Amino acid sequence: MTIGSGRATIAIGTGSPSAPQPKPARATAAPSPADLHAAMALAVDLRNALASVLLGSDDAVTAAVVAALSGSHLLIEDVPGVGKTVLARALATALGAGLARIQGHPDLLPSDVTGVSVFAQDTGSWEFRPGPVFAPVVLLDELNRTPPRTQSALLEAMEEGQVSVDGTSWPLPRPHLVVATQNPVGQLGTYPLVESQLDRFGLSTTIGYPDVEVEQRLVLHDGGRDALAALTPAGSPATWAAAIEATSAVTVTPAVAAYAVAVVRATRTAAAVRLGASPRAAIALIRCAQAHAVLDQRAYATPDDVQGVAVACLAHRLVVDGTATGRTVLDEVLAATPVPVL
Amino acid sequence: MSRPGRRLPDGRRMHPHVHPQALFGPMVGSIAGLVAWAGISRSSGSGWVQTVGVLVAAVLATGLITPALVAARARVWCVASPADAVAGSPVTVVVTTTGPFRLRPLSPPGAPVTAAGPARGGRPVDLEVVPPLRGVIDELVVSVDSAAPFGLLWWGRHHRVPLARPLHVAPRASGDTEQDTRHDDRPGDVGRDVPAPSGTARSVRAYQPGDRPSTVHWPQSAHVGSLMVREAEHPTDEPVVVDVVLPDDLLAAERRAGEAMATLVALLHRGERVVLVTDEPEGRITAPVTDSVDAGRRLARAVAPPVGTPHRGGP
Amino acid sequence: MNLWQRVVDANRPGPPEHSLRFRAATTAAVAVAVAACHAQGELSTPVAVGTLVATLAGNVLSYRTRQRPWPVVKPLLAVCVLGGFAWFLLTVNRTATPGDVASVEAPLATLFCWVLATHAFDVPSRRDVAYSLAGSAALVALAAAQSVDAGFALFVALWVLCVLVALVSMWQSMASVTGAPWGLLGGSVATTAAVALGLLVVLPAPQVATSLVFPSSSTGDAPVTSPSHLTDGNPTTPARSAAPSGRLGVGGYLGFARSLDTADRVALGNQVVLRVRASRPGYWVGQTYDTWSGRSWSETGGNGSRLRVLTGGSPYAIPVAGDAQAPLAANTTDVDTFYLAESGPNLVFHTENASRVYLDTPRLFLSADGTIVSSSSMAAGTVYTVVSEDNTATPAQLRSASPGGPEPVTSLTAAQEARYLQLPHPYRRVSALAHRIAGGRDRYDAVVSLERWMGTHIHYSTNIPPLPAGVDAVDSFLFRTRVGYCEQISTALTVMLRTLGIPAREAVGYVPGSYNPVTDLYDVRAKDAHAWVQVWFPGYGWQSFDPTARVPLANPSPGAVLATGLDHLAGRLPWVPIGGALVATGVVLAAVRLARRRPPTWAHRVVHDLERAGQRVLAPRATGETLVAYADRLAEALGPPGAGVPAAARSVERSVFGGETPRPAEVAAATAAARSARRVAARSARQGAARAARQAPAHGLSGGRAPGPRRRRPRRRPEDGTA
Repeated sequence: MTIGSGRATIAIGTGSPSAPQPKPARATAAPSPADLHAAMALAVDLRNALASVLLGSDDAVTAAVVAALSGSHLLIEDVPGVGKTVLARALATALGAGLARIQGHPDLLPSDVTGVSVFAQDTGSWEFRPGPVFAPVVLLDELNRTPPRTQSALLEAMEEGQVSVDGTSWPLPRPHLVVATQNPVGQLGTYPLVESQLDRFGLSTTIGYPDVEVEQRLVLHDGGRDALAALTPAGSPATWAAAIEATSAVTVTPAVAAYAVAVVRATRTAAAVRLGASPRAAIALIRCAQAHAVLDQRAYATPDDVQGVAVACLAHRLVVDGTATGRTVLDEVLAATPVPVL
Repeated sequence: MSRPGRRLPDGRRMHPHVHPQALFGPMVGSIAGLVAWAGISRSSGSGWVQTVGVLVAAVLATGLITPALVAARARVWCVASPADAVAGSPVTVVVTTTGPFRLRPLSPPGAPVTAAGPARGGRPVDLEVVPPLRGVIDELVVSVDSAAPFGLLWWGRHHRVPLARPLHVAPRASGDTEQDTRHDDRPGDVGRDVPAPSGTARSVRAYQPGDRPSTVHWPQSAHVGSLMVREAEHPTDEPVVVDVVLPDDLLAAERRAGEAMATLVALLHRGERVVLVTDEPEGRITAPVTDSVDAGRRLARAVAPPVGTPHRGGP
Repeated sequence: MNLWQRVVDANRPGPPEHSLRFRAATTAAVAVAVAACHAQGELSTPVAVGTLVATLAGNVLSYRTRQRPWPVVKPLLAVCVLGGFAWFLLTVNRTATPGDVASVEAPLATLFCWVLATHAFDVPSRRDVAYSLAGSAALVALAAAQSVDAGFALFVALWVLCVLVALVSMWQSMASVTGAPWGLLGGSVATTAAVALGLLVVLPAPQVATSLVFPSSSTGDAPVTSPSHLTDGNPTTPARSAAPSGRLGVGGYLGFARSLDTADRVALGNQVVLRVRASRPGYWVGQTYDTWSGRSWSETGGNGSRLRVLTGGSPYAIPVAGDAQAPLAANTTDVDTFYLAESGPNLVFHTENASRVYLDTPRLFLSADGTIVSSSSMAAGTVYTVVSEDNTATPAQLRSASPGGPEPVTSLTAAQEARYLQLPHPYRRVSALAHRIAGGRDRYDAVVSLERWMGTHIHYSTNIPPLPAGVDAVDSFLFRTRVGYCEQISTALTVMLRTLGIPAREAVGYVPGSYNPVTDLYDVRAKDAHAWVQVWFPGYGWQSFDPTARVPLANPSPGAVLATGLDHLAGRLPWVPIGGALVATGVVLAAVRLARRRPPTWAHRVVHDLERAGQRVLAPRATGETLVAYADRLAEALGPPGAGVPAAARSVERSVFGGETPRPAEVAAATAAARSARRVAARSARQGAARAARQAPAHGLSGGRAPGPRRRRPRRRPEDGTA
């Protein structure tokens, strides 16, 4: 179920709004091979569903699936109208989870995102109305047009997994996926995020303008919203949570881990880089590589996985000087870091 | 500002080849000792004196000459260096050397550091340098000295060590230091400046330190039991334009850059949007400044305008 | 900074020295130096022990108080040092004898020890410890000045080792180097040894200026009581020519006696009997004999009569003997110092024509032929110096000399001539032989021709059968055996010369011996005892001729000594076993290294084949290119034959990164695919090269995509600035 813009305070479908959400049951045993196979199946289904909706954007589809499987948040930097909302909706539908959409604008308050305590006249007490962030999948459009305080509130909630209002903590659902979009920088009236805030997003991607053929197909009602309407859920929040657990158990040999760490460390001393990737980035890189391996139907992570997710995972965390971008810097770093072969 | 060529910024010559330091004492002592020994061996009763003298001469020769070979093979390279610094404050640069050498930063100046560790093998060293003036520093000049194996004479060589990334040395913000909130230890909300909201009230929220007392919504505060203030729209604010023209004289330019830095820091702290206009080697640059680090970089790169530019008034 | 400030700055004490190894090594160096001085007799035992104890205590105290030295220490030490200097000056004034350095050296050594011991109490900083080290060098120099034998090398080696350890520790503490300094120490020892060796070879041999000092000392004052005044070292035992169980030989003669029995067979030992400092080598003459009996030589008047007695104490001026006239012009003066290493006969050895003898003895006995005998016995440790006037003439001069020539300054009296032509019986056969060889020539050429004949017709050996009884030694030697050593050869030459009417006599003494470049001394061994011939030339006196030995003209340089020593060593080393051992070691090491290398697994082989294949067709695998990406690129470049390559790469990745051992079929397939890829690549590389040689290459087998990490096709990015 979706919610409109942040001004109204409407409860969302999952769980009672006035009580803290119960945590989903977590598996106490280590994930079994069957769990891994289920995760692989879910990954393939997700990708097929997203690819049918978002024609031709393989990078964005892969990034979305990896974000879903690794439990990281996704940042889409793109111009309006290329299908960001469609992607988020398709993801939510395929995962069988509810989607909440927040439109960012300079008047957005933190309470519009996290929820607000309302004074109920009849009971004479303050009630907490949960905000849109309490949905399993949250789409926040134009993150860089929201004022800084709201940005901080959202990112803090993402980091801690809970919302504190009036001394009470309301936990966010698990699993939780935030898809935030921003317009490319250079426009007036934006509040660009600081590096420490961008670091909270595990992956970043763009969708870009489609090819001629794809655009023609879209116009002819193939893909896009029409495909979205025909989408069926491939899983449920429970299977999604299990898939995340199984992904985190994918084999990572010390060689691959060392390679990921080497790449991250190389970004810190690369030329034209003002601020490199943090250790949090290295952890995120490995988790995304594991998710990429699951998507590739493998139970082990390889350097190919690391290279495949490196740009998505690291480019937005780098602060570069001059005319270089995160992508160019990462291309150089990946070309220069020796890959473990044996 | 890096200066290629044979001179360090303070005018001393740069020696790219190994040269001894404080040669006078050890050389004179050795020669005097050996001459005295030769005299004794001629007038003694045994040729053993000459043999022992030859051994002592060999020890002295080894101790005086080997450091030159060791210092000539020394290598230094920068592992990590920060991107920003403030003139007059120490900056730590991590370099790696290939042996137990003594490193003396020459430009920018710093205290000598001995690279401790085993006799072989590279080891990281933290060099603390203090850039005296603002600018962009691409490389350090470090003297790498060795006195191996006997410690009789130090031989050294001046190395140019390219930094891992260019170091922008911002001018020290001079003048009013009240604006520096990093070191504001005063209690309470005195001096904190939260952007004053103006415009129509939109909603009510909890009080945050720094809010003006005039925005407190008393009825709602009475209801809730704690202070609530009115939330207002943020105005779209016009940026403040700061135009910096630096004089040609180095020290005067440093002072003026310091004043500009102080002004920029104050404005940024107040939450204003600032656009900085400076002259750089490529021409006049007009661009917004997002934080004090960015301001420092812009001022580090700024130069005096080329001769012939019409004079622009004001700081 | 002006000069005064600079001096003050330079003298400021540095930071305290914490390195314990540095201090310990310096103390050890001082201890070795003190021990060396004590071994040379310059320090008495209480002084040496006291210095050691004081140095140790001082160092401990300085180490304890190094952070805050006691202010009372410096003035106290200054007073002590001044007192030491005062004592030294007084002692030297009282006991020193002019011209005797040794009498100064002992108090000097004691003064150095005193200064070192007091300085050890005030060594807080690095510079002070270094000064202690330099002080030990002065002590070692003092000890070296007195030592004459090779045993001092032990002290030198130990001291140099301590100094090297101390210096390396000093540098370690200066540069904050951690860890044991073994590598550095080994390197510095090797470098120092190499430099020292180079310097030793390059520098000239040490030339001790013997014209300044004439050392002499004696260790025993026992007067000699034997009737002939010649003893064998024991004051009361007359010197005997042979003893079956002589100390210096087996069945050989003990030393020098009043007669020389050529029937004795010698086997002399290798011990050093005396050491000589001489500016140039020469024969050390002991005695001469003039009466030949057919088997043995003896000396007229050797039983004690006709001896001149010289009294008065050292130095003794030797008057020119009756038959040795004043030397001619253009001669050189030799100053030779003799250090006795073993107690021996109380002969004063000298080069010919001794003019002054510096010997600590009440009387000297002089015989007519120039033999000098001391009145005290000479034990080991006796030192005496002899100044001689060299009168060796050149062959041209000797050729021109003839009896009755112009101005015969020197000539023999008739009685002397008769003595030196004495023969026990007319040697007819010997005379005929001598006349056949050298008849009709002048004196010099006669001697030379006889020498040459000896060289070609006589075989030198010390291993000869005993002389049968009743047989004349010269007859037997010249006509029967033709084998002998210096005694037989020189006796035969003398007899032959006498048959020719040339006055000649037998001289015995020592050849110069081996020159030790380190101590600047000739080491004369027992086996260097020698007999040679002296021939009278009117006008020039007695000239020595030696048909047996070759004597060099000058002291050899250290480089030459080193070269010959190495030559001998190289000749004696067993090279074949050494070479075999080295080769075997090399083989063992190579085998161990080969065995330790892990055997390549199938994954290694596959990767190796793929990389080789790729090298032949396109650029090698880039640094940042994964195996799978590289394999895809390779399969694209190879076409249909490379179909199995991507699967092979994925198998490798599965086994390496997934930890799963693949099935044998999969392993075989991967290995086969890689191998075939390599073959195909090699073939097409050859074909491609041939084709390229024939035509301009349209397109080679270059890969489609550029090497690099695997990239998806980039999307078109929206331009900046559009909303």
